[in-house]
Amino acid sequence: MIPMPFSKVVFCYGESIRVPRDVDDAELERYRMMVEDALALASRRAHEALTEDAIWKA
Amino acid sequence: MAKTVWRAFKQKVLLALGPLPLAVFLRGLYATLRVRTIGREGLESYKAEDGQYIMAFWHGDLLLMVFAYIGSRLTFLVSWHRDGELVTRVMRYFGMNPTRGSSTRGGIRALHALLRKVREGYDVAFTPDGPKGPARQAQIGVVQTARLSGLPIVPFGVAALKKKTCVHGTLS
Repeated sequence: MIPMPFSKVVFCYGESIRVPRDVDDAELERYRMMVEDALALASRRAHEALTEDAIWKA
Repeated sequence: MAKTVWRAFKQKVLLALGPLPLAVFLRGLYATLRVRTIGREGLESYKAEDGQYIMAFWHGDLLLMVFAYIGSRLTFLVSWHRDGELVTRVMRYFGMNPTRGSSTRGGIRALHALLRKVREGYDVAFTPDGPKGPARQAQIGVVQTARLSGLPIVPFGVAALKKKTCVHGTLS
């Protein structure tokens, strides 16, 4: 994705996720879903912020 | 109208220009953008303590990510296939250091090459859904890399108003 010039852009950094070394395969799958959800959330938060006035006033 | 012209410009002109003009173009474009960030503070303090991390984002956000990375040494996995070549060369201009290898063929070797870079002190950029997709579905590689490296995964998202999405496989 390349935005048009002069667009508003929001970068969202989500909460970090640590994966323990001793997880089994089933747990690994749970972490995979966690990452997928966290990325969806970060994208959603960034999109929401595009229309939040407070963040653009400063 | 403007969007149609913009789209044609991106697909035809930029790809034909090659990596250096593309990198210059991206910097120039970025200078026109109004950028805000969310959730940056935690990551900055973690970086201040020399913490390494894995920056995870969807493949479609790749070219804006170069401006969002916090840190000074970053590597990312690129396949040997020539499709990855242009983006790789553009990213080199932003100080990013590719690790060659394929997640589909010889995935274990690629993983070990990444882990070596981590031991050298690099952060890792990771697109859990790419480059083959399906888009916005995470593959297991990012979790494996986090497990074996001990580095935290920092999920990252981008949004832009007035954005146009490229045709998949070109500059997306």
